[in-house]
Amino acid sequence: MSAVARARHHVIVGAGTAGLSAVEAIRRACPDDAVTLLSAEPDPPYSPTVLPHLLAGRIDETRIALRPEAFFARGRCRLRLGAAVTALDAERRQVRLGDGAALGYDTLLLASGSESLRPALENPDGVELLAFTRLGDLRALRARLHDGARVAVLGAGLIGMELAEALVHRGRGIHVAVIEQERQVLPRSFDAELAGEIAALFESRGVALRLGRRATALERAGRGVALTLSDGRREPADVVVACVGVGPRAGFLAGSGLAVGRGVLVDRRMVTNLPDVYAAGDVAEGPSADGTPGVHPVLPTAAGQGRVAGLNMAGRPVEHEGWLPANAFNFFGRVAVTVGATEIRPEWASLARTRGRARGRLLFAGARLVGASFVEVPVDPGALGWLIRQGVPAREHAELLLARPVEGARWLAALSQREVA
Amino acid sequence: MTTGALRPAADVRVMDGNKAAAWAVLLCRPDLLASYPISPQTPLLEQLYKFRAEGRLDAETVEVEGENSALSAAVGAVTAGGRAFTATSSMGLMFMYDAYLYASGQRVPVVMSVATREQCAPHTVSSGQQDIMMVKEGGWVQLVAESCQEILDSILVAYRLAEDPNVQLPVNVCYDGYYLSHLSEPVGVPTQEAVDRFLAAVGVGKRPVLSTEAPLSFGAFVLGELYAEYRYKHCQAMQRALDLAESLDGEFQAAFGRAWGGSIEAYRTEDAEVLLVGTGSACGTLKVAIDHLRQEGVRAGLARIRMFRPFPRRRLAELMRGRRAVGVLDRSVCFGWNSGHLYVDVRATAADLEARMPLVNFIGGLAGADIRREMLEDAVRTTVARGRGEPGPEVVWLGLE
Amino acid sequence: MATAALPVLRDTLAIDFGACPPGCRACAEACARARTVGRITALDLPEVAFHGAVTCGQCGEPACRDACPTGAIVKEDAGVVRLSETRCVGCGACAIACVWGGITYDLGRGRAAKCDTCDGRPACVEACPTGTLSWVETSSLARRFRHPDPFTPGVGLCPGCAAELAFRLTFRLIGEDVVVFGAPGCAVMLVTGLNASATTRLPAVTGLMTNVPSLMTGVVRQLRRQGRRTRCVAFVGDGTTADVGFQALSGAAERGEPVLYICYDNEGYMNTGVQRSSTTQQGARTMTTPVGSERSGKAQAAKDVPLLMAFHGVAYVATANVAFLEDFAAKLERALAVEDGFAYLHLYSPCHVGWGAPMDSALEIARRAVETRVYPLWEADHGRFRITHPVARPRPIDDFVELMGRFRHLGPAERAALGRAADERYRRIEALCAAFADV
Repeated sequence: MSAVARARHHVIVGAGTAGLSAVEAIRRACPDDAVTLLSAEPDPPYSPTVLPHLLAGRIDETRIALRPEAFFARGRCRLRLGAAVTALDAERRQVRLGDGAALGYDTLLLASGSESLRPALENPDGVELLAFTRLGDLRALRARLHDGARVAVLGAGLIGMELAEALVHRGRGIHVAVIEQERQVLPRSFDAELAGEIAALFESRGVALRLGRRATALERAGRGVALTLSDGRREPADVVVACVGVGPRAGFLAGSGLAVGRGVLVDRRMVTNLPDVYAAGDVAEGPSADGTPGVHPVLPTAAGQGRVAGLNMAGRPVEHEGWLPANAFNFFGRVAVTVGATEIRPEWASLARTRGRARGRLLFAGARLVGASFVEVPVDPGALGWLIRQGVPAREHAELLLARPVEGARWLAALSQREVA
Repeated sequence: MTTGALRPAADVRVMDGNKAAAWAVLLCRPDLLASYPISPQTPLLEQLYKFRAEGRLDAETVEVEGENSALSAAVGAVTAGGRAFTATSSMGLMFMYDAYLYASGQRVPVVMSVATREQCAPHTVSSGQQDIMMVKEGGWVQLVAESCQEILDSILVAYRLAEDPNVQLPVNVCYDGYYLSHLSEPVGVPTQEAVDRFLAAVGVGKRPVLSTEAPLSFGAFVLGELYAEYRYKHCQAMQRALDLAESLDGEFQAAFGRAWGGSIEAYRTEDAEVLLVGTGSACGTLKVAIDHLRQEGVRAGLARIRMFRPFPRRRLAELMRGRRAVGVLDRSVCFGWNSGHLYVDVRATAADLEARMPLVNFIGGLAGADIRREMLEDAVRTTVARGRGEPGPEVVWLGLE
Repeated sequence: MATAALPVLRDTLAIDFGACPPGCRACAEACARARTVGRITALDLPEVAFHGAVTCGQCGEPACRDACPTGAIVKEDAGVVRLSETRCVGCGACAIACVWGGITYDLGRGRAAKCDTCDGRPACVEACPTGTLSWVETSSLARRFRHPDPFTPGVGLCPGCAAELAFRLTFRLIGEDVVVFGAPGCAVMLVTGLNASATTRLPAVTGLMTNVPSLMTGVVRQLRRQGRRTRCVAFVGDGTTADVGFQALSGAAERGEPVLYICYDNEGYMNTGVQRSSTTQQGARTMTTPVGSERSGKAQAAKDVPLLMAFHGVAYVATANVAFLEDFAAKLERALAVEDGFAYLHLYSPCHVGWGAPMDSALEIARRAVETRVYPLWEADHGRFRITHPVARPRPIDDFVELMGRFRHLGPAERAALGRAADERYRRIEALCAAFADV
């Protein structure tokens, strides 16, 4: 006898990419179910990815809403802004909100995203240290940017470099210095060679790079401030922005019994250790394509995990294929794309091709493609990702993939997709 | 609807039983006729097709590929609100048996005549009543005629019974193959107006039918208690049909000037010491035999069963009460009871009486074998002798022993 | 449980993948001219002797939309997945998310670009010299199956049943001026109701396995007599059609009764637990054609019922299956266009339970049955034969056989024989097409 499903109430904490993908999935699978979407922020749902683009002026705040207002009016989805969750009580199946109210759920999705890590440095004067992960951070930064301002960016990861690029793009005599303890920029995204090229590009645009050292102290200095670096030098600045990394926004879950490692631990169905509690997106630590767990705070991963979580919450057991490292970078009009592994292992083969500024490199484990990176070459990272995930034997077509990456990858992917289908 | 002009009342014609049935059908204005040829009912259908071809009968005609389809097409038309007619005999009736049960279980008020015939095997096309006996538990109303006039009249009554909102059951009008189907007699054909008046009480609009305006599901899948309710209501409807048959007899007489006795025709039973029970055309011979023996002082009477299903148990019991013996004439055999079918029912009815009496069964007329007057006079005498306490076999096979 | 309808793409771009002529880039060039950057990619790859094209498939649940950080990608109600270039910041997340080659990253402008079907007048299709690209009306499906499903949900057919899908779709196309007929068999659950509860809001008649066409005869005649053109439509199985009820079917067809008779052929008595019927395929294992040391599946070939019906000389006969919905809809429409004659549809309806296949396999089996020529899609419209879905290069028979446990015992020779029989069946229909194309 089949049970007649009653309408259920799904609560989603966080209205970013993962949360909204979950809403789409639930709405599709169980249109009669009710969804409450809780956002701690006062603004309509947006993605932090847009922050550098807003800063650079490529887009304005009227064009960043992830969904039009009408989206939330459809179905039984209720969006509550400014509703911060302060605690989770899995036993009673409720979350507690900032105003003290409790909200019951049948299923709960934690999609609260990530937050900036605080750098470990001495700050005896209590100098203001900005972050760059929320609209509020952007507004604070903007308010402090006068013409000719000196901005020190702590960290040359993706956020730091994007911030630096946006500041350069903004112009108005702003001086930018980036301080990074590794010896290269974008250390987790590119190998040293490519990173060197990107660093040169930034330097040619006037960005001062302080690589191989970190900031150890921050203090007031005249009308501005000064950082002390690990090599003893001082870096004067007007504004300091910390971009040393992000971690899962999971503090409010303390004491809930939820298993948290580098993120909220989930399996391939995005299920946590608590019943009917799911997690997805930047807050989640889930399996990668090869099964090793990790946090992968990148948009397509958040979208995919959110969708899988939503379907499971709606009662459709599906599994996430696992996240695959993939990123696209656009610095000063130069585009770099990486998919899969970026660091070569001894047992792998590397095949590369360079034509002027355009270059590509493919990593192969036997016949299988395991990593691809291209600079200034049109590529299709989705198709390449398919080849990597599916283990398509692509080695024999390496030349084609390097010479004509878009066509080659799409052709191989399409053939494989027809087989899989 | 155009039906050919009939001459005024008391239009008496000489016709055989099949033709009499055809005239009755014509007068009942059916919407659909479905037919499959089988002796001895075939001339009935031929006559109806002739009426159709002549423009006297405005009905759909469906020349089906088998009897199951004949009845099913009729059932379909009735389900959609029409009036339908079909006819068959013998193995044709057997071949439609699943549809036969469907029609009654679905409470479809279709009318079907049966020109009765033996069953095979062995092969034969001769007269007999085995076919209608084989389907007597099928939930239909079964009327059995003795004469061609009664065939015509019974078909008119059959539609009143079938389509009555308190009955809503399919009805068989049975008549002996060849003995009636092919025997010519004077038959009074009523006027169309009189028949229309008689049938005005029933017809479309008085029962649930298929429609897109108020959709219904026919043939539902039913379990347990609701199934019992279906059966219970079916049984109740059968009993109401029995009562209605009695009251319709008076109404019929008022309309057409003839009365038949309702479920049972009681013939010279008032002072009878022994009672004979029979059904169908052989009862005519039996009446002659009784008349003849009465001249010798034998006080015998006849209960002619006109409605075999539902069985007129109460009336028959009244007619049996106080007789010295009861003899039952069967033109069929009930395997396993070693008797005729009617005998089994009469024997069961006897249990309703306080006093027991000797019962004897006469089986004859199988496969068109003659049942002569002398044989029936012997049967009556045998019954009288049993009433006097003389021993003898319970079942006597006429002409065999 | 209801499932929310996806936005329906009114029409769609169809690409016969890999069928482009060498050296041709007409589509990409036309696209670039019309839309500033090529959104369709010509995969002209002489290195690997491949020539094709690929572009956005306008996904129902687009991964690119879900990944976009600015809400620049929207699945529109009309079906197009549209990218707003004024919102795009060129982050490339969409191109990472899409594995189908549907997003083009425009290096020159640092923006993504994707096909928007030129709002229904795609320049690539107009430029295609070979017809490899075509603009296909898909909205016709939504328009055709436009009526609400008249059957209740939760009817007790097996999950993944192809017959149930076809049944519901049939009556979504036909609408409500209809009487539906069923007979004992799996699908009757949709017709009969249970106790006092109906399962459909259509007037419905559940008949016997022997008498459905005859019941229909009576009903349709009576309805016509009342001046109604209400359609009488049967949806019954192959046992009813090909075996015990074939006589009544043949009779009604010969008489030309104005009804539509649909047989869903799951090749056996599935409702009674998988016994062979006369349409069971040769070699197939059923409970009455088991596999043992002396017997090995059904010994006889399947009875070709649609062909038998065609040779009754009825107004319309067609084979169909729900893996080919356009074809199915078109045939239903043609069958319904027959107002005064008999129409017969034979629906191939894989029973994954009885055929030993996974729950989600029915449509794939149905698709491959056509692609291997096991089940040719054809029609005979007033005697004119036509193959409606030509299969020029059939897939190997193993592609079909391997999907089902009921054929697992067959050796290579027996499989090859099945393939030859399928081919013969197809060529028989081809011959009829040639002989009776213009009767």
